[in-house]
Amino acid sequence: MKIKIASEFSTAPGPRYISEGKFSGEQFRKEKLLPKVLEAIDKKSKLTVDLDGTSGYGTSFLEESFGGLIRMDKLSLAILKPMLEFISKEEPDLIPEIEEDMAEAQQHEDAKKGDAK
Amino acid sequence: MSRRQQLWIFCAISFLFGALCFKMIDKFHAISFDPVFSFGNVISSLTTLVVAVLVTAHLQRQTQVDKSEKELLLRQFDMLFDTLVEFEKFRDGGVLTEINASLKKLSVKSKSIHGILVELKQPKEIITASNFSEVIKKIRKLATDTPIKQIEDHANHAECSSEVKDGIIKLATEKRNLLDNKIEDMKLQIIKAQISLNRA
Repeated sequence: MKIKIASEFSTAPGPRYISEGKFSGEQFRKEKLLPKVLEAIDKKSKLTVDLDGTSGYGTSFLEESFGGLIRMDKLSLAILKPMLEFISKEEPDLIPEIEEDMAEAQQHEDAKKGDAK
Repeated sequence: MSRRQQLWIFCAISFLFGALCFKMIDKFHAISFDPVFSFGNVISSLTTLVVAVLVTAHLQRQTQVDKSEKELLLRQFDMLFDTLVEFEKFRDGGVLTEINASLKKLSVKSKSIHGILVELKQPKEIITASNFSEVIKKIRKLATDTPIKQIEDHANHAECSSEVKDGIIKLATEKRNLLDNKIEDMKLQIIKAQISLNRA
């Protein structure tokens, strides 16, 4: 399975939250990314996210989209890491940034669970 | 010392050296010349001359190519510097999508310069100096990161966080100062890379 942000969502990704402006990370996650992720989990297949073709990404958009899957949608890094693949020929440095965001989100979730206990 | 004086001194030394050589040959008869030239001698001399001319031409062409490559790369660094200066207009914030676009331009340009230097097998110090990934990552974070509402420590630092309204980001003073510093760091790194390349 594949999702190309530029053609399926927007060529000009925006802020973190829907309340902050158009084409936010929150909107992308809720409307496009999460349904595809759930479908991929269901089919036990990989999901390739193509980041190329947009005018550029802000840190918050990426964190809210991918870190948000863990923070907000309660999916674990252990499930997401092996199933998500990224393509970014234009800005390959974005991939480790996204992976860092996801790892940090998981750390926060683990810390929250630890506090609750 | 003027160029004219240098020329005179060079001529005098050459003359003395020539005279000395003549005296040595004359005295010791260590070297003798065969006054008869064969066809083989002529061919051999011509071949040596042609080879010398070809080698010189090749070396000159190679020097010219290296010089052009260096000039081209230095121009690329100048363009990267200009792109960074263009980005500076967003130091207080602005339309987020425009900031993202400007950052992408900066990132793509720096990556392509780095790629060219790697492909041309430039010295390791130049390749390391031209790697701007880390500084661009920091600039991107300072210019486009906004707090996560749900995370407490982000919320506690809300007063020094950037705000976004209708797709327009306004940077907090603290972030603006840090961003200025990072931009200056990158400018310095570009200049250092240019100097390393120029010296190579």
